Parts: sequence; structure tokens; C-alpha cells
Amino acid sequence: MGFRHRHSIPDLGVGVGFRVPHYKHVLTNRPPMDWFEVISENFMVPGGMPRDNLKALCASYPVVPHGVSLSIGSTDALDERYLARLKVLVDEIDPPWFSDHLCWSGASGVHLHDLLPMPFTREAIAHVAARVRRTQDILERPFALENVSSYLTFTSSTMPEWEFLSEVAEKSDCGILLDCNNIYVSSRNHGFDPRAYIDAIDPTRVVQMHLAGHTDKGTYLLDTHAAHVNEETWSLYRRAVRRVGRVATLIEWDEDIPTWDVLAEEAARARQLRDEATTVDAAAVALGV
Amino acid sequence: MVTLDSMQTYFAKAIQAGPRDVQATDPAITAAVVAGNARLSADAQLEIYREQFWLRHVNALVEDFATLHHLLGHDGFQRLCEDYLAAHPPTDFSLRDLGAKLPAFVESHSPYREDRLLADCARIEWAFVDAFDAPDAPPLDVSMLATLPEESWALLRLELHPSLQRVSLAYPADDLRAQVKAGEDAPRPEPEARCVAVYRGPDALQYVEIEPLAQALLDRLAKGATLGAACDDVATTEAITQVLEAKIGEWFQLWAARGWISRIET
Repeated sequence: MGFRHRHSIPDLGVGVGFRVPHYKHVLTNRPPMDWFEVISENFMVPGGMPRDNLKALCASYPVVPHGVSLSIGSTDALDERYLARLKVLVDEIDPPWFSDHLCWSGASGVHLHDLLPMPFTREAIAHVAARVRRTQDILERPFALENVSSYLTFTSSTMPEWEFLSEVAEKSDCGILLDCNNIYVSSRNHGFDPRAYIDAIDPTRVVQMHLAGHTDKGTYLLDTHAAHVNEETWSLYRRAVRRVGRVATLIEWDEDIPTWDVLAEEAARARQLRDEATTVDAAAVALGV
Repeated sequence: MVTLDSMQTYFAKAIQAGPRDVQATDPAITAAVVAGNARLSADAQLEIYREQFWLRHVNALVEDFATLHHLLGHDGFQRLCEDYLAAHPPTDFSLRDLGAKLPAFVESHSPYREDRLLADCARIEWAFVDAFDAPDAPPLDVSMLATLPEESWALLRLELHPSLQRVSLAYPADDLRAQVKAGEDAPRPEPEARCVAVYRGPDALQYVEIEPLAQALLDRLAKGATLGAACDDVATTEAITQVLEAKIGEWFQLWAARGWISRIET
């Protein structure tokens, strides 16, 4: 039985990130939206409005915390203080899973606040897998690792990124948060076929997908979450849905944040595409093609 | 062989390097660690991450210290960030605490320490950050004040609301902050000493000027002194004693009404 089924991970539908410009509208008008993702660290504070807003959000929508600071790939010791505070937040939200990134964010005691790329090596797989297991033991609920966008590769890498992600997930027995935009950005930056990435991932481990826009900097693509999802990424998403099935999907938009209506339209497009992709598959099965 | 640990140590040092830190990277090592491609050399790829490090951290500090940024201009503020982060590299998982040591840094490092307005701005701006997400505490039930026997007042200990911050200023940096925040014309103010309290109101952060004597009293109460001991401590002259006697009741009501008092121990 695959990871998703073993942990009874629900399909939450299509949601969006909970971001400051929309707080008032969301908490006052409760607009239709399947679910929200929150950045864990923004709510790991003692009190005040962040906590009040989170409580109000959780009272009306399913909420999943998504971290950016776990630094699972760092050779610094796991930050037990961070994990303890994350556990308080996760227990309070009580989500079906929580997530962070397959990256490192600090070294020698310095926190760099970035999602830094890993070398794709056996040493790194063993290192990360042990830390994921420890994280899941402490948090006591399913954990999903997200693939990041990257702007460089390491000379020491001995395998493609999708093999690295798959092995880490397998060895640590965690879920995968498949970010289609990050796959596209990295494929353009490093010259690989993004479809090969999608096709290599164990579909039963994917608990969630991300969609976002990026910025073309001329010599590379930068993952900015500052624009609409581009057509190539929609196409990858369609491929991923057909392979994985219906799993919770999230639109990320963190810079140049548009109006709620624009964001909701982007989510509606994902919802429609997801429905079409799975309906086509179901029809094909029914017709025996 | 490049181990995971040695790669991360080198990489971290390289991307923290400011523009004046020319020794941070060695092109030969970078080329041995980073693959590069036809469009971007290994150095250029590493530079993307260095740029992002500075953009992210300077932006976080601009957000928390917009008044300081306004006074120094962007280049001056960028230089302050480089000086500050060289002295205090980020060590916390959250960017929320990135500027925690900036007020003390501005107060104690040249050339910033020569201008008291800079330190005042940094202190008042950080007071707002601390007030924003300080722990919650239920407000005092004001009606219980009426039930206290007069003889018990001197022995009262007050628990102040965790969001209440008190700042002594040589300049009206609180008003300057408000002007900058509102996008108004915000010229450098003239010196004007004042005490300011920043606190979390029911819907938003509030700030209000308070009398220096009230601040002195609050500071002592915050440290756990009884009301009687705190009054004795600040009443250093007969004139101050008279002011205290005349105002303490009014202050107490005001503090309770603003939610500055969470609990009273009798």
C-alpha cells in the first residue's frame, strides 16, 4: 500500500497560500476556497494577530502548514527548539500532513534563510533520510518533502534530481510535495526534460502539488512566485495529475500578489484542469484504451 | 573529495559575503564544487544565491526599520545592513528576529552612534516588532480595582501585558515613524525628549506618549516591585511625591483601560 493510502491522506482540492493582503477578505467574507496553506514560521510566534488570524482561518477552512526553515539537508544538528515550536503549531492546526523543502538553509550555526540545493549523492541521501525520520518521529504525523528550484548543480552529484528525491522519500518513508513550477524552473536552468522528472516519481508518495509563477532573468529562471503559472507548467501539472491522480493542489503567489479574484481564478483553472485530466483517464479506463 | 559538510561551509561563507568581502570565495574552489553551464559560470551561479541572500535580509530589515531606511537612504541602509550582519550573522530560523540586535548595534557602532536619532528610530521600530507578536494575556477585570481595600494598594504587584514596550527617546522618533509609514513628507525632526509606550490595542498596534515619571514607575513594576516600593523608589524629592500622589490613581485607571495591566497580585 502506498504512502498516501497508508496515511489516509485526503484530497483537499485546490487551495491557495494564506497571505497578508488577503487576510481581511478571507477572514471577513469567508470566500469559497477548498483549503489554505500557511507558512509555518509566520505563525510560530508567542501571540498577537498572527495567532488570532490562524485560529480564525482554521475555524473556516482546512489548513496545512508548510515550512521554509527546517533545513533538513544541513550538516548542522537538527534544531530541536525549532522542531518543538513546529510541533506546537502542527498539533494546534491538526493537519493531515505538514511539509518543508528538500534543501539546506544554514551551516556552521548561521541561518541563510534560503532553500539551498543539495548535491545528489549517496552521502546526502543517507544524511537527509535519517533527519526526516527523526522529524517524523518528533512531529508524529505524515511529512512531505518538496523539490526546490535550483540555479546550480554540484560536480559531486552522481544521479538526477528525481532519483535523489525518490530515494530520500523511500529511505525515510515520507511523502512528496511535487512542485511543478520548481521542476520546470530547474529543467530550464539545468537542461533536463521535466517530463522525465514527473514520470520517475512514485505516484503513491505524492500527497500534494504546488503551482506557481517564476521570473525569466535572461540567463536563468528565478522562482519568484510573482506571476501566473505559465503554460509549460500547466502542461506538466496535467501530466502529473494523470500520473498521480487527484491530490491536494496549491497555488503559491508571494510577490506582486494579485487581487483575491485573480488568485481564485488561478485556483479555478487548476481545479478545472485537474477534473479534466482525471475524467479523461477515467473515460479511457472505461473504454479500455 | 568534497563532503556535504565542507561544501555547505564553503557555500555559506560565499553567499554571506558582502561587496567589501573580496576574500570570501576562491574561483578555483568554486569551479571544483559547482558545475556551471554554457550560460553561467560556476561563479555566476553562486552569485545568484549571494544576491538573493542580501536581497532577502536587507528587505527584511527595511520592513522592520523603514524609518531608519528613510533617514539613511537605501545605500546608507544597505551599508548598515552589511556592517550589522557581519557583526551579527543571522542565526535564528526566523527572519522575525533578524533585527533584534540592530538597535544596540546602531547605538554602539560608529558612524551610527554619533547620531542619536538613528538609535531612537531603531529602538522605537523594534518596540513595534516586539509588541506585534508578544504573548497574549487576558486583560485585567477593571471592576476588581474597586473591591481592593485601600491598605492593600501599597503591596500590589502588577503583571504588565507582554506587548507593552516602553522607550525613552531624545527625538520624536515615534512621530517620524508614523509619517514614514503613512508615506508623508518626513523631514528630520529637532531633538525633543519623550517617553513612549507601544502596545497592542484591540485591533491594531498603538503608541502613546507617557510622562517620564509614569515610565519610571512602569519600569519598576515590570521588574516585580510592589506598587509601594516602586513609588518609594521613584519619589526622590518631595515635589515628585506630590505629583505621584496626585496622578497615580488616574494613571492606574488609564493603564487598566488600555489593557496594560494583565493581573494584580494582592
